[in-house]
Amino acid sequence: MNRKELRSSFCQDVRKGFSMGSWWICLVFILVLSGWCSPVFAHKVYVFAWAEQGVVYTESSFGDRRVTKGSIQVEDMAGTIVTTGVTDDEGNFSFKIPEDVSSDFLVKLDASMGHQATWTVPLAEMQQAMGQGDLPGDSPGDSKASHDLAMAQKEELEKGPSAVKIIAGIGIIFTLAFAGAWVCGRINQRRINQGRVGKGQVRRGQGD
Amino acid sequence: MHISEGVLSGQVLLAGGVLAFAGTAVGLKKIDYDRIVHVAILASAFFVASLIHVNLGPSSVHLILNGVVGLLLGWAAFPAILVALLLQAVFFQYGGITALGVNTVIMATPAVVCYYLFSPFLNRGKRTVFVASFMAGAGSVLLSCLFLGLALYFTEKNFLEVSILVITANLPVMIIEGVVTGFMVAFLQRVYPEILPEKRRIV
Repeated sequence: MNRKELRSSFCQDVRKGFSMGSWWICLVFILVLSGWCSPVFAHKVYVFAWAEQGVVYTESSFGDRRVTKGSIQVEDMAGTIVTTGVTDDEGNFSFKIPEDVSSDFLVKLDASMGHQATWTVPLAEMQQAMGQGDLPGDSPGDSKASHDLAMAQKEELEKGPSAVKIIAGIGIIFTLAFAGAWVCGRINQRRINQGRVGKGQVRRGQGD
Repeated sequence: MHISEGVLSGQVLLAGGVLAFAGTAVGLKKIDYDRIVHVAILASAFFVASLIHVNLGPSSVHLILNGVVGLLLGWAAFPAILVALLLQAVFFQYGGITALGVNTVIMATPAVVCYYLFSPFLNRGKRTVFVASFMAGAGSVLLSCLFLGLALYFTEKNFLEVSILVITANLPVMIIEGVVTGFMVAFLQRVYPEILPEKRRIV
């Protein structure tokens, strides 16, 4: 069997597997879910932290829902625990930056049931926040700019899954399936060509 | 339901990886060549289902669909769920690459268990098909919760507490998933029985 016949045989097998029923279900499925997913946020936990006026503020969420009573642990880069706490009903937790801060801080959130997230607060950001003074109202312009930048980063993180990624994922799954079908088809064809099995006896998988 | 990176110990991750590899190998061996496209369709369904995130009271839940995947695919649920979870980890940062094996075992093992428990009832009457599918949908989520509690036990050492917490949080998912699976399988049995395992079709 030459390459052209082999390709034709593979296409026939794919058509057989991907009958009209499959197409119909697939189409309905993709249309419904792509419409449904647009306002949806990822079920991924986030912790976000920023330094402002001598304090590190953290905010924890599952995208559109705040993490309440989530455990927060703050460590320095040496692994020493700086502070621990629990998020409030708004998913917030804050702590005062220690005077002797000398490295970045790693904020760890444990939202239970295997949900965990981390965020690094750079040393420079904390030093800048301490330089602004502990009193509210110092350098309000700088503070607002820092906060706005932080909020922009947070919004970017909390963005829901894009339609492009969803479609790309589905495309990859079907590409893998077709590649698998093609490899199986070639193996079966080789067996037939070698006379090891008859045309009706090719291996179709063991089933259950 | 997805365990994040850095939560579990190395031993648990390794054990999960080995079990997921073994399950996937068995699944690939058992995939019927003619049904590869069905595996892809159900893997896509699983891939997208976790994105449907519904706020329910103070909690928020998402569909899993491992019951329907298991019921229709049997052992092939392992490779289907593995690929879907891998893509979820890469594209949406759900779970994580290192926790992929454990997450696969947590979701695919109940799928296979439910296949053996409930698929023999799929070629019976309409009501039996619906009830069996409901049980498979709800049961697979329940079993996944227990597996999740078991995986976290080796880290947190409080299996009962974690399991109760996970099951309570996922109780609405069990009911929704059971109903969705029930209607889905009953509908497929009527309009497209070819997607069901050969022995389970009504002839």
